[in-house]
Amino acid sequence: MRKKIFIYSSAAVCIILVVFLTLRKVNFLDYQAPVPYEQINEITFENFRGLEFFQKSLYGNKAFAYIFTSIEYEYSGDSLKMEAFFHPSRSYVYNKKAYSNDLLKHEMYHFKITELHVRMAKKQILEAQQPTEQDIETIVEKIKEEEELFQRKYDDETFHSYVLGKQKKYEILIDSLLLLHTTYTKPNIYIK
Amino acid sequence: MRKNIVITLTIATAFFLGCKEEQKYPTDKKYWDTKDYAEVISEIKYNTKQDEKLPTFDNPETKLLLEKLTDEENFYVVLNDDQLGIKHRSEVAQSFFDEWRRMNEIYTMTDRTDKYVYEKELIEIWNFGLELQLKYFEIGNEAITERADDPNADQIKSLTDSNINTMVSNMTHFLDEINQENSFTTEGHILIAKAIDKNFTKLVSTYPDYNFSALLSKIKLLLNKTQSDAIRESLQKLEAQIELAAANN
Repeated sequence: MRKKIFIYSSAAVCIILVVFLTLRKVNFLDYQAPVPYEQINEITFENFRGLEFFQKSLYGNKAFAYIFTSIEYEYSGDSLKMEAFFHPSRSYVYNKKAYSNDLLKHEMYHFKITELHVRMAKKQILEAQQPTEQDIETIVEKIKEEEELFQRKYDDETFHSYVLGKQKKYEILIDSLLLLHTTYTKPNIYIK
Repeated sequence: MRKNIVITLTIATAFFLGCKEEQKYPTDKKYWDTKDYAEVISEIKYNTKQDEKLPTFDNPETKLLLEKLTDEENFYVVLNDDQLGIKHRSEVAQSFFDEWRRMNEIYTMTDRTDKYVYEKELIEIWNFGLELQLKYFEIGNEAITERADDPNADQIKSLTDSNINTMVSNMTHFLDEINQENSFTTEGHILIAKAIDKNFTKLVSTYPDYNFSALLSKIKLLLNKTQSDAIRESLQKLEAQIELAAANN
């Protein structure tokens, strides 16, 4: 009997843990599908639906947000579809009704950095001579590492938008680089 | 068995509540804002027992704290950011100045021989304050000029001149410490000399048209009084710089 109680209670704790950990990763209770980059201008803090249980502040500042973005790609015959996505249910803001253009803009430039790296990956893939899937994977992995470094540098130098002068410089830099890579805006590229 | 359940639940609870232990001081934060200063200063002032040693540069555990506390980048990163509005910067400068005044009271204690117990910390905090004041008054005057209908009006000029007078007077108070140079060690004299070199040189070169005659008189008196070679050398350099600036006017 006691053994049964122990098993049931352990199982209950495990289930709660799994639900809790999943909720931390993705808020499935208020889920919104990933948003492609072309819809960036429609994103507001209302779309930041992730939950945060542990981190109560960022360096003492309770008014903080973080964004989760990703580079996704899939093959379709002769073409490769690659896009940058914003994940609403994995992105968090301390208050969905927050009216802070500076904070939202800083987070949106994280998304722009992801899009920039998608375009850079497409450029490298198109410049490769008949790339195999393995070649593409290598390019994408390398680009993802570069993106990670860029994102960290952006946060470090702007100190999460605290240093407005640096933030503006990054905005100009990222917008210019995106403009330079306009050719690679469309999600699909032909690889054969 | 009940014990097992309790252990399982305890582990689970600990996991749920397993928040990171907050650091006492935000030393890993790249730039401290005035809120950080307010909290850290209060923590040092009110939560250090009377018989305990205050955070110092020579203690490896608190060295980083002192370095952050006296890091001028903390105010420069905001006050030099011209993307920020002058009114905002002026308010931030005022807050930094207020916090510096509170910070200034922490390390002033002397021992039975009238020597400063924390001379390095004290001088570095003064150094921070001298540099801050140069920027604080510059921004304050910039804000006054920007708000004025006619920035060249006599009234505005008089107001900004009065601010410069206050700043020079505040900075001159630092030189009063030379009258108590026996309260410092030779190492302390060198730090004072460095602070004079750094901040007063900047003061004179920022306001070359200002009439520094009162400061010059004080320097001459102090030159007669000081026993420290390092301080004497710095005062002589400053004297020469002021006389050169006056000759060029």
